[in-house]
Amino acid sequence: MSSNLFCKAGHIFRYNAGLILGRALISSKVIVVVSLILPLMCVTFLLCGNAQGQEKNWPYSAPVHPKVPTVNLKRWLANDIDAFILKKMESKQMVPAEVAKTSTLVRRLYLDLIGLPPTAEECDEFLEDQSPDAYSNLVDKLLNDSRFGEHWARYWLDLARYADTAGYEGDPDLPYAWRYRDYVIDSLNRDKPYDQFIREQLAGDELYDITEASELPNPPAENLVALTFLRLAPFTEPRGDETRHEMLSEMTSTVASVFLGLTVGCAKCHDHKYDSIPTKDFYRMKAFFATVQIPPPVRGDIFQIGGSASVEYYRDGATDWAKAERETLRSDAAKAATKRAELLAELHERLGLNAGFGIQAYGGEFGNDYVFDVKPVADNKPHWVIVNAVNHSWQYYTDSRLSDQQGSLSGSNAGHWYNGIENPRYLSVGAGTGGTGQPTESNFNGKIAQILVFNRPLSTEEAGLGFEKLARLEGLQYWLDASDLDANPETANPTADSTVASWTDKISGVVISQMDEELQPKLGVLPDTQIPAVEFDDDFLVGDSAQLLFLKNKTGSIVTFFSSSDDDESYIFEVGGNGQFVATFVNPTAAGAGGLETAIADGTDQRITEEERRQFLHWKNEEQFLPQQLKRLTPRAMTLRHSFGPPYEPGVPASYVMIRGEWDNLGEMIEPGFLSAMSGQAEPAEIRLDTFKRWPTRSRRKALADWIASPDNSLTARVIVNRLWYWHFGRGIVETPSDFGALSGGPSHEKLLDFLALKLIENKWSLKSIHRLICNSNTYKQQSSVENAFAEKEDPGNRYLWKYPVRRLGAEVVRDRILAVSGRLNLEQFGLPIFPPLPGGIENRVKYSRSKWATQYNEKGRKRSIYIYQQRTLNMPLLQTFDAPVCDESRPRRRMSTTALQALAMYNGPLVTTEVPHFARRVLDVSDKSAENRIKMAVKLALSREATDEELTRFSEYYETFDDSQEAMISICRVLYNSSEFLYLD
Amino acid sequence: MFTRRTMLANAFNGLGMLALSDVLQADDELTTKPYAPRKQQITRKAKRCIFLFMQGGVSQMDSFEYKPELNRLHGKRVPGSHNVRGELQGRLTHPHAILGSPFQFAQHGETGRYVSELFPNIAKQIDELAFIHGIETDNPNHGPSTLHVTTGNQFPGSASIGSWVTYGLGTENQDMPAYMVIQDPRGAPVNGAHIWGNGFLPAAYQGTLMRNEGTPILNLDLPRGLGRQRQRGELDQLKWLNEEYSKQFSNASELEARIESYELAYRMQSTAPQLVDISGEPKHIQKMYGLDDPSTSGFGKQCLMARRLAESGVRYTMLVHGVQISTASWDDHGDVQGRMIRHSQEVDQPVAALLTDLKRRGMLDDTLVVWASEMGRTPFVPGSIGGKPGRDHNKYGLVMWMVGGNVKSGVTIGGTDAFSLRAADEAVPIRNVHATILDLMGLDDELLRYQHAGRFRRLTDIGGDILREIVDA
Repeated sequence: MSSNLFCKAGHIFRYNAGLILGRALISSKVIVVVSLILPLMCVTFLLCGNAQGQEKNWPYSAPVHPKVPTVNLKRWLANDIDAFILKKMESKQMVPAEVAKTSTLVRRLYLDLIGLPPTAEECDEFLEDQSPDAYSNLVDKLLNDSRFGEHWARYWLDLARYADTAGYEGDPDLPYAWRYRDYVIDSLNRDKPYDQFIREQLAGDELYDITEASELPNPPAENLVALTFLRLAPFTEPRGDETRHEMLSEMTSTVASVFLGLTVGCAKCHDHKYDSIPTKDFYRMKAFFATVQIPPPVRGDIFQIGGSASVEYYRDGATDWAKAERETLRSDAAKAATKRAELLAELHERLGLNAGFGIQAYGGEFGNDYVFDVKPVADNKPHWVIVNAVNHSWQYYTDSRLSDQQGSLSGSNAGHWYNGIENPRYLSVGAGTGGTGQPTESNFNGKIAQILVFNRPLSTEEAGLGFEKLARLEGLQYWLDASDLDANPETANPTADSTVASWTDKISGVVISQMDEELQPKLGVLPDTQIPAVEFDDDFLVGDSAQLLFLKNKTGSIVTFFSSSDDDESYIFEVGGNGQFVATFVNPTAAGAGGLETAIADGTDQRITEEERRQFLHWKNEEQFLPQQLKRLTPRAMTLRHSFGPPYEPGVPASYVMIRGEWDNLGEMIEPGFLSAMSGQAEPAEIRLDTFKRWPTRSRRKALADWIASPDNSLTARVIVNRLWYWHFGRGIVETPSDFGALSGGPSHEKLLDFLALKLIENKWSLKSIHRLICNSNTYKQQSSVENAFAEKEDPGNRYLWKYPVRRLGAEVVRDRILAVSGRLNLEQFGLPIFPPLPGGIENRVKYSRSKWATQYNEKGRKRSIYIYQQRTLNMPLLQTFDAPVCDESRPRRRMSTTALQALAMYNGPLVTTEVPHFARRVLDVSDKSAENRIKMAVKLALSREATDEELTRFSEYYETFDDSQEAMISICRVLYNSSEFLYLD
Repeated sequence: MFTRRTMLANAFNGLGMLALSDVLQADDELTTKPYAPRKQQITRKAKRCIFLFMQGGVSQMDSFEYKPELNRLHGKRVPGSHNVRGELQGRLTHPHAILGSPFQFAQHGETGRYVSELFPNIAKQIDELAFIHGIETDNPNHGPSTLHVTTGNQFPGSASIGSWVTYGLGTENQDMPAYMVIQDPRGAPVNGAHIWGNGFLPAAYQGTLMRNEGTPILNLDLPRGLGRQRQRGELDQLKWLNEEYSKQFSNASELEARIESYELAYRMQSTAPQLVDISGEPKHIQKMYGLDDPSTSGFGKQCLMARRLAESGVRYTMLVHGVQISTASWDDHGDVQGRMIRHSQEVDQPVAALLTDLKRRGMLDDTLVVWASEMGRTPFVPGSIGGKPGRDHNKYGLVMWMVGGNVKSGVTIGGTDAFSLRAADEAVPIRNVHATILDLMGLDDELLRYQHAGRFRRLTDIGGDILREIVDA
């Protein structure tokens, strides 16, 4: 009987779910069995729950130097790797594939090692090199190429859950995360020993011994940047202890899965269901992080994602680069500000706008509530505006166009519209009175032709009727008409320029008037028309509002037909009393420059050209974006440190098991310790403090890092060589690179794995030495296209590597290859995140004011994909379509998919569409301009091989069907970009 | 007795191996035919799901929970602390004042369920709906709780419901993406694309965002200057080239799938735009969805589109109403009265129209409709009641409803206390709702799993109890 079943049965009981056994097992029979064996479980846990003194099994046992196996087909062996691979194959009566064609090998090496295709010259150079070392020389050359790090860092960034934003609400920027990305590229390029790479990322601040009673050493900048690794998890508004628990738990599980290939995180809530990792071990490991201190949030960090620390640039030339970059950004920012201001001034001059029309409710229960449409109306042109009060909100139509601006009706909604005014006494037109019936400083300069008030909101259709028909609509309750000032159609209207002492409502006959001659308006016409209008110049007319019908309504609509050239807030139509009022107003001031800016941005004003709009948005975007880039450039890092401990900061907090993983459910108190399954015991780890124990909070992470980065650690080396193997072959010796536990299914070539692990340690943790070994093996050099019916039947999944596994390229390589083939890839290395064009304006759909995507249409946006800004809430569509993950958890592998959306992205998408003409241009410009030569060239550029005769014949025929050779090449180039071969590594 | 060696041997030979092969067997299909229609694991009527997500946290006591006690004690403190634990406790020990609902409630339909005056149209169909009250999520902040409701986990990285459903069932219409998302035309929700993300599932199962302008799906338009005829010519060349390439390899199903993907894409170019062109819908249908009224036209269009997508066989459609950090979301910290009027007006008629429309077409039988938000709100305001009071977050008070497929009409599950603070008796963890949604879609929460990071991940993570009372089967 299996004790494994006990663990699982226990789990089912705890969670009421048959996670592993499935439905079939949750039957009454199983319940009977379980109830029988339940008492036994306690015994079992006692016997095997404690790892002390137990014999260790794979993967917890140390790697053993394997004997290189003897094989039959000795001539096939290029190095020891092949012996292990061939041995397995021979045991299954399988034979390896032939060595691939030279052209295949060169393409494979380039794409695999540097993530870019060879140029035509690089292909030729290699094909012509007849020396026996040509191949291994190429391997060395590419391993030493600085583009190597850019390609291989991408794999590591997936593991490190790297992103440039924190995710969640607002998706705030992590302004210095990119320095970690550069750290990884640089470390891999320099072949930094892997043990050092680990130590820097886990404990870069603690690596230096303090032997005297001295101050804390200043860790190298590089180490501080490396620590960013621990801080890359998504983060949102913290909630005290709970968040700290989650944060440290995340560090624990990520560190364990990345470096040890163990899913320790599973043990956070309960003993691991498949592996020998008790919950206690999770918390013993977590205790190494107990003194982690994150810089507190800076002012303005509304999501409190935490701060950064000053960390100088350390790479050769980086300081100079930053200085130059800073100067460029500053001058660009200044230029953007000037350009935008100039354009705005020019438009302001030409259009005379930046105004809105609004409504305000003030006083009493209203508070001070206002809303306005920023459609320009203070431009001395005729406008008509409808303000609807509908269901507790305001709605606007300016010249029939519904405004985006909507507002709530004011106050507690006990009263709304005009019936919310407690004691209405005055009705005025022109200058505002603030509900007093006496003019205030709020004036009105402009002409009013008509004001109509309805007892219901007007519909969209009615708003579209045009001004002339409105007065005939139902529900009209108030109507001032300047073409009939006395509301008597029988009498003639006064002539133009005569003063207006009174104006009569055509519905109720209520009169508004002005006795003070100084304040009397004149009669005129609306600009560009012959329509009579009362012309106000700080004047106003006032009347008694008591008789007005619309005051009692709960909803309604005000229509105003007017023109205005005001540049100050000024009032038009007001009802009020006792300091409470509802008034309409022209509002250029409150709308501010925003009025004009909105008018430019929303694209409804026909007087602003498309080019002006584009220019304006560009400069505005730059003006917001460049300061963000400047901020990112400050020499800082998202690092962390150990707390200083007493007397400056609290000492080491006690660590507990958190029962069921709950932050406030403390169990047993524990000490930091290594995983018992690996160390064979459960004693606390030794934390080596400084000589005088002045810094008791220090060295915890160092203890963990030293244990992980030790040659004696049974997993660390195995895990990383397996990852390298995985990335070279698209599959691992262990299939699940971050899980060496029971669910991994174990290694396909256990001895090979140990051989490589020990080789890595022997080679002083040089990762490149393992790359070199793998790439120089015949296993790696095999052909991918072979006929081998026997092997196909025996091992269809190619687990024994009887051929090189053909597989699709990663998303970043696809993008980089497109640009490389068109000749437009910008190979500039390192630096600030880039913002390449996104399709369909998608950046505007998922954008946040704090992390804005400012598209770089120039060569900056054409750097390699690893430099693209990783916004957690906005993955670049092309990359996402090709399976690039949103990095929120450590991702050891990507599942490659084949979808129609990929076809659409490649065939219609903006990147290929933009690059095809450039690719075609390269081919059209070759000296020999024959169709055949062009086709040859195109195939060579796109696929890094010679065109076949059949391809030449077929494409030449196709070429001839075009009248225009340029169009012909564009079509052929697009076909090549879309070919499967372009997307696959073979 | 039991040694570690035998334990491990068991793991490999027995369940461990089984689990591994489980994953590897599916490999080929997941890569080459991720959307191939797959059989339900349980026989259920629903063929598709429309998930209506109200961003911001809908106030339950102003919508579907009638709590007269709040009006009786308006302005007073919440009496006693009988039902107060966890994070509400902290807020109730500080000064606060109960805020009665400013809205009238009335009973509707044969079930006599109380609905506030804000949802007059949904109220007319109230007998059809099944309600779940007192749902709990793990975190009262928008980011985590939105993820919890949409992906089953408050931390980013897990697969959204639609991803699980399409992973489990594939889709009926190969000419359209299996999983479509229509977000609020005013902007993105909290967490952006994470809430329709595939998480650890293959990327093919992520939601496809429908666009507001231009073609509904990205990259549907041919490059400028390229006609259908020239495209056909190029595709013929491409097909030949790709076939030549795939011929070189034995077992080239993936490469064959790629050839097929171009034909699919070609068809999608003509079907998708037709599908989302609502101009051909009769006037009365447009009016029913409120397209003639500016306050309802936004969500009305989203709902009408959802019906058309559902009709065409899109497996899962998610609609989002509300924009993050804005008064256009249901996050009514201030002026809950004024804003609730606006939000409810924006969705009430369109949602009711969607239900009516589905029913008239006989589609409500095989379409599951879910109405959700990320949390509920508090019955009190911190401090005292000011001019325009609002309500805070309440992670214990989420209310959801479902209708269609095997959903039993008129059922109520759970219920909150007299103050809508939290469940009166037993809280409903969101994972139970998730298990129920899967069940209603014909998927088994225990079988629909994916090996990731050392364990089998599920939508419910640790497993959910199906709310049996809601499932009519």
